Amino acid sequence: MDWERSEPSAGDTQLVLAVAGGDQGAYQELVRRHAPRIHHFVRKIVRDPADAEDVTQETFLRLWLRAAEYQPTARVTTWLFRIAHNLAIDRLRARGRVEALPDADAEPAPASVSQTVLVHRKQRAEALEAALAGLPERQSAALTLVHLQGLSGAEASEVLGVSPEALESLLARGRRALRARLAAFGEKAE
Amino acid sequence: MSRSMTESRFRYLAEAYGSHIERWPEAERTAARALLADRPELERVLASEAELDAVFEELGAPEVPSSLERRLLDIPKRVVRPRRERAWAWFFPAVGWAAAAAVGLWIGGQLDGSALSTGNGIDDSEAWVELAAGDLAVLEEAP
Repeated sequence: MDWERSEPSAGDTQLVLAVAGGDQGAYQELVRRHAPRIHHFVRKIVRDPADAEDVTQETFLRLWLRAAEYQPTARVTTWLFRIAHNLAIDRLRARGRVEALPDADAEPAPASVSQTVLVHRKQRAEALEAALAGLPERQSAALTLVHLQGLSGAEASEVLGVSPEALESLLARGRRALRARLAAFGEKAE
Repeated sequence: MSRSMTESRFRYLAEAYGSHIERWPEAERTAARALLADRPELERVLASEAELDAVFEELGAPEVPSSLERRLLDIPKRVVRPRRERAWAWFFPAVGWAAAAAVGLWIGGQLDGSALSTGNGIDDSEAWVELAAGDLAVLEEAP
């Protein structure tokens, strides 16, 4: 998956600085580069397609209006994901859908994905989407950032506002839960 | 960094970050590779995690609905940004006042004393200052 592992262009920072100066072309280039990843990430959190579109739109509105607030110490990708994550959480709160204790979910039983005999790749992808959607919001966000969007642990912990240790915990428990859910899906499919 | 790593830490990192050591925290990669070289059986840990990594990799590239992309691209046309003039707001009035003062000084420098004479006998600059301050007695004292 090239899209998830590719490093953002070194020109991102220059583009944001140009947007701060009112350059519409620079803004549109940033939309083309980052909107798919931002929208994909937001969908994993808010889960509702209409909400995901609203939050994505609000994220890029912030980019247009507040580009001057960008500090080049952070990567543009990290900055945009952080804005998107905060807006997505606000949206979930407004909907009353933030888990009271997002990390207090029960530990799933260890399972092997090899138990899952998912014949078609499409089926496997759909199973993963469904499994991700069933995870607590923070686990889902951590897994999406690191394993789907290709952010490093340090970048993902910055986006989510958690320590690197907390991020590792979210990732480990999230992957464990995914294994269990995928295994259950595979057993159903058999 | 070449700190040593325990097997449990290796397993935990594999569980969190998956089978690709290059995706693990940079500071721990060297120690992880050294441990793997010493303990080849840990390859099985990575192989186990690789199964889940493969599922992640099967997800297709994300796409933005075209209607959403159009709305995103149109934001600059629909949303007028507040002008960034706060930082400069003080500048233009200050320049105006400074220019007016400079012009006044220049004109003043071009005039000789006779040009200021109004024929009322007040030619003394101090007297003009007193008159400007409202002291009408200056006029009475004028010859």
